[in-house]
Amino acid sequence: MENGQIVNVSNLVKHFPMGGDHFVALKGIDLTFATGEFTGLVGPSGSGKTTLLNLIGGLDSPTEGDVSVLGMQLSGSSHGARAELRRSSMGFIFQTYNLLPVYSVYENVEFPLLLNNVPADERKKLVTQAIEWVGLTDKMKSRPAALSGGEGQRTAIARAIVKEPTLVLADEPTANLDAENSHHVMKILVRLNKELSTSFIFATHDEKVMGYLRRILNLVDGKIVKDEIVENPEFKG
Amino acid sequence: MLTFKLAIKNLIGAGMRTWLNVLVTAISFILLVFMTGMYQGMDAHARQVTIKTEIAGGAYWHPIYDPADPFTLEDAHGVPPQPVIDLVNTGDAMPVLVAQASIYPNGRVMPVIMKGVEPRQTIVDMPTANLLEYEGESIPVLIGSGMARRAGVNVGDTFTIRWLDANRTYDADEGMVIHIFETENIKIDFGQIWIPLARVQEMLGMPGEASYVSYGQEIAALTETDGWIHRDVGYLTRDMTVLIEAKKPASYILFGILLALAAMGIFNSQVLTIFRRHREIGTLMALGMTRSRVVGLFTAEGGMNAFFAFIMSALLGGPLFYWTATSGIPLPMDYSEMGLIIAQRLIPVYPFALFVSTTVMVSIIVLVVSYIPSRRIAKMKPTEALRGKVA
Ligand SMILES: Nc1ncnc2c1ncn2[C@@H]1O[C@H](COP(=O)(O)OP(=O)(O)OP(=O)(O)O)[C@@H](O)[C@H]1O
Ligand SMILES: [Mg+2]
Repeated sequence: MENGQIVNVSNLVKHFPMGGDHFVALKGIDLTFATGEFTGLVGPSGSGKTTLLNLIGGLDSPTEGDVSVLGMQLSGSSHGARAELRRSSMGFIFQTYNLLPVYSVYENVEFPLLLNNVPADERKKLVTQAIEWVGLTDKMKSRPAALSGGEGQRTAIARAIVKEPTLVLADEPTANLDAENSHHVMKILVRLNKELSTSFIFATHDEKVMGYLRRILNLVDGKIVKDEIVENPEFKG
Repeated sequence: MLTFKLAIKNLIGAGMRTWLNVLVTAISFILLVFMTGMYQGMDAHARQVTIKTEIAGGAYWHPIYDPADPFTLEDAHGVPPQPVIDLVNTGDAMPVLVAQASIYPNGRVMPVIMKGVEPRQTIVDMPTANLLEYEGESIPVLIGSGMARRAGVNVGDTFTIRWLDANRTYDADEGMVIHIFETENIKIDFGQIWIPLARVQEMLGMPGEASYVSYGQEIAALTETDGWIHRDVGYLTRDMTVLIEAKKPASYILFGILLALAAMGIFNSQVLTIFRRHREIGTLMALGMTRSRVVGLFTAEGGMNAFFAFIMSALLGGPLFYWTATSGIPLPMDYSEMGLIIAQRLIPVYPFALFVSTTVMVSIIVLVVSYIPSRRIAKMKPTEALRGKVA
């Protein structure tokens, strides 16, 4: 699947009900993502970045058009099949982190592995490693409520990558990180992308993140206005 | 298995919130059992009081004695059969001679049932021994406080008693109130006057005779009674049993109301908790948990909440149930200075079936109020659950 398609989006339209009317968040999007991409959706606030990521992840359903991910057509699929796909192959980094409040950092990161029945010793190794990557080893036992914004975000990143998924959807993963941490985290993601061919789709405003991207999709008002390949990213990881 | 591990982890992790919810469930459980037990205890109490003060172990009735028909009383007397007399002689039974009479307190006339009772008896819980304190010429009379109030008499007051003797001639003499007793059993109070047996036998001209003989609890029934009719406790409390049976629907309604109240408490704590956790549910689905697994997790949490609640109920309620079932609940009135030993305590009754039905009901409630809201949230798209727009 080195050069195969991982995501295919065709004629994607998304309406949100608004009063008696509706708001058109995505206005017919056609896109293809290949395995191993390191791509970013950029655009002003409200342009539809999060909406598009949610549709790709099967967390929401489109008004029109279709998404297929890893060969699965989402609109024809059952709820359970989509959950299964997320569980086995996708990692999410939410703009709002969405950590499980009663779990520690360690338990939050461990959770996707529990769902995938990863054996205990391997689980421990993977969790410890992911937490180390994002530099939270000393916060392992903290609950989300006791974390700073950046620490919460790094926990969310560790949780998304711990199972080494095929596809990571990352919504503003660096919004709350300082420059140093942003670069540190991005370098880890680039490494995962290189070593495991993990595909990444970002939604971001962050110049630092853009500096790592190898493809930039410009989204304005629910439409792709520019699809550009970056031959020589500013930062190499 | 993972579901259960996660459920436990979630409950323990949520700390205070879990224990508050568990406490609400436990309190509901305890209240349900306690209130129902009290209600059932009232019936049992009435029965116990009647047995203690009136029925004792049972009775042998003169062949035509019928307390429901006062007109038979005139003929319902005789010398009890020998085996019954033997019981009386060993102190295991007490003869009672019953007759119709009239009293004239304060110039009024009141029809009464006059009962001759052995003052030294220990068969029923009545202060008959007080009759021995009087050594004067009048007829010593013991009455209940209800009767005293109705007749308007106090201790030391006298009134005329008029009765029909064995020769069917009217006699009259002066009675004096020696003692007034408090009782919860109105059947030994209203319309009854209690006089030493020997005196009544003498007044009626019926030496050695009785209308019935009550025997003590734990005394075996006789087989040879020479025509006298054996009445056991079951027979003598049959009115009461019918009454209690008739009240059963009311007790189910009470249980239902209490259950509804308990359900509301559990509903409040559980449903609000789950709706507040919409974001968590959305996250779980985004991480790849299926709907049914999410619902299973929350229902398992509910089930475990119920389980913890039963442990907590046992810890908190156990001593309460034990203490109330053995010592009773003191009622707000105290009659001890009146010389009566009737404990003014309500003893709740907790049949095993009550625990079982309450456990089943509370478990169902907890499971339902866990299942329904979590299913409602899990039915939403993950994005909606995350945002928490509960329709
Ligand atoms: N559930 C919803 N109901 C109504 N409108 C919505 C909903 N979700 C998103 N929108 C609207 O759709 C548009 C796109 O939202 P989206 O969250 O995708 O923007 P975004 O590009 O991620 O913005 P940001 O950079 O601020 O995160 C916005 O105008 C938003 O108000
Ligand atoms: Mg967004």
